[in-house]
Amino acid sequence: MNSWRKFWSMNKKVMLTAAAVLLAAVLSLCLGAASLGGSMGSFIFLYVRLPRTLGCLLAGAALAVSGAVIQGVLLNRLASPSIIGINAGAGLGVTVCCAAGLLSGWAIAGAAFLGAMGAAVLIVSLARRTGASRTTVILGGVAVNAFLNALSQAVTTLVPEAGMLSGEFRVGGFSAVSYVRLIPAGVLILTALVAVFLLHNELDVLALGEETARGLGLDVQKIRLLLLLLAAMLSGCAVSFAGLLGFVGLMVPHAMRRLVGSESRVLLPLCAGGGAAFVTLCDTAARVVFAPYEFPVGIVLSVLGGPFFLTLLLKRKGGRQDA
Amino acid sequence: MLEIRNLSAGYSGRPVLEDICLTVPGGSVTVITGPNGCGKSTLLKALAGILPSTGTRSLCGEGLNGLSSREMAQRVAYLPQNRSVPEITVRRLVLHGRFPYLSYPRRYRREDEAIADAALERLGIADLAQRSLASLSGGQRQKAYIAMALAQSTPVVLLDEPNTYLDIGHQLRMMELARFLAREGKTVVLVLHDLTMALEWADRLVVMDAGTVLAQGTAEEVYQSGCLNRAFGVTVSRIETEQGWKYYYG
Repeated sequence: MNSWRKFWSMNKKVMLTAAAVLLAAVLSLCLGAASLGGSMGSFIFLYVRLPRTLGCLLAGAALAVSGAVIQGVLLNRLASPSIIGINAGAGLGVTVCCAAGLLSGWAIAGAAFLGAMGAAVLIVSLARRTGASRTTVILGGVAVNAFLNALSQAVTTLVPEAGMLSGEFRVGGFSAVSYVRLIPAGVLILTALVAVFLLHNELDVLALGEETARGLGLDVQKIRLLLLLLAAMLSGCAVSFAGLLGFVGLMVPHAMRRLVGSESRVLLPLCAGGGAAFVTLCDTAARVVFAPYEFPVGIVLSVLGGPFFLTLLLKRKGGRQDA
Repeated sequence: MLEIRNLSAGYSGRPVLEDICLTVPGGSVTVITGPNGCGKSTLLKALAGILPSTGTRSLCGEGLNGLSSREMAQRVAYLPQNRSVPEITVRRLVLHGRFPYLSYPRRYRREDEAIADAALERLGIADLAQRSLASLSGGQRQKAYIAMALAQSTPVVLLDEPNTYLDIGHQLRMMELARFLAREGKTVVLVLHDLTMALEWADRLVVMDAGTVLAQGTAEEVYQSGCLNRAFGVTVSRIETEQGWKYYYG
C-alpha cells in the first residue's frame, strides 16, 4: 500500500480537483427547477441539462486556462481575458456575425475567435509600444474593453436583429446553450487546451523573463504570439456560447497558483479542472437558490470577482515586482 | 575559443557597439569591465545572439551567425542581470536549462533530470531543490540560476554581473566557480564592474569605454597600458602581497 500512499501524496491536488469536477457535473445534471421524472424527464436531461453542464465545464476550463496563459505571456498577474478586453473582442465578433445574419455555430465560434485575437494583438502591441509597464497594460486593456463593448452596443442598436444576444450575453450565462453552438466551440476549445498543454515548458521559460528565455533558445516573439492565439481561441470560443463571463480567468489561476505554484505542467491542468468545477457550481447555485427563477451565472461571478480583483490590487501595493 | 570580428550592435537604431574585435580564449575566465553605459552588457547579449548584430562571431572556427536560437543555446549559455522570479521549484528552474535540447514528446527526459541534479549538486544547493524560487534569498536564487546555466551544458558560459546580489563571501565563491569551470575547458565570460575583483580574477581582461574596446589582454598587460585610469577616471594602484598583486584606488 506504500506505492498507493506515495501516488496519493504526489497527485492529491490533481485527484481532488478531478473529484470536484465530477461532483459539480453530477450536481449540475441532477439539480434544477424541473423534475427529471415524468415524460419530459429524459428530454430535459438530454437537451437542457446535459448541454448546459457541458457548456459550463467547457467555458470554465477554457476561461481559466486562457487567464493563466495570458498572465504568463504578459508577465502580469492582474491580466485576464475579461479585464484586458479579449472577451469584449470576442463579444464584438459574435455581435457582428449575428448582425450579418451568419448564425451557424462554426461561423459564430470563428467570429468570436477572430474578435478575441484582434483584441489580444491590440493589447500586446500596446504593451510593446509603451515598454510594457504592468499598469499601462491593464489600463490600456480597460480602454480597449470599453471601446469594444461600445462598438458591440452600437451594432446592436443599428441592427436590432443582432439583439438576440443583448441581455444574458452581456453578463454571461448558460440558459440558451444548445448543441448547435456548443459542438463547434467545444471542438476548438479541446484542441486549444491540448495545444496549450504541449507548450507548458515554453510558457514556463517565457515566465523567466524575455532575455533569459532567449538565452535558452526560445523564439520569444513566435511563442508569445502562438500562446496568445491559443488563449484567444479558448476565451473566444467560451464567449461564443456563454457570453461575457468575467473574472473566471482571474480568480481560478490565482487560487490554483496559491495551491500548486506557477509550474505550468501542473498549473494548467488544475486551472482547467478548477475553472470547470467553479463555473459549473456557480451556475448550479444560480439556478437552484432562486428556483424557479434563475440568475445569469455572470452576475454571480462578477459579485465574487469584483471584490477579489480589488483585494489583489490592495495586496500588490508596495509589493515586490514579481512575475 | 570565441572570436568576434567587426561586431556592431545597438537598440532600435541607436548604435551602442561599433566595430568590436575580440578574442576570448577557451579554458579561461575572461572579464569584461568598463564604466556604466560603456556597452559591456550589450556586448554580452550580442555574443549570446539574443541581440541582433553585424560582423562575425565564431566558436572554435564554427561560424555562429547563421545558427538558430536553439542551436545557439546549445553552444552558449547566457544569464542576464535582470530576471523575473516565478513561483516554480529550484529543480524545475534548473531543469529548464535543458530547454534547448527538448524534443518530442515535449517533456524532459531522465538524462535531462540527471544533468539538472548534477548541476544542483555542483552549486551545493541540492537541499533547496524542492523549494520555491520565490522563497529563496538573493544569493541562493543566484546559485539556482547559475545551476540552470550549467545544466545547459554549453562550451561557452556568459554571465552578466553574477555578483550583483551576493555578499563578499559568495562573490569569492562565485569567482572560484568561474575559474573551476574554465579549468574544465569551458569558455567563461563575465561582466563585472568591480575593477579590483576583475583585475585579481581575470585570466583575460577586456576594458570597454563608449562602445569600443580600449584594451584586452592579461590583467598585467591591461594594468600596464594605463587605460584603466582613463576609462574609469580614477587612479588604480597595486602592491605585491604573498597572494599576488592586490589592487586599490588612489
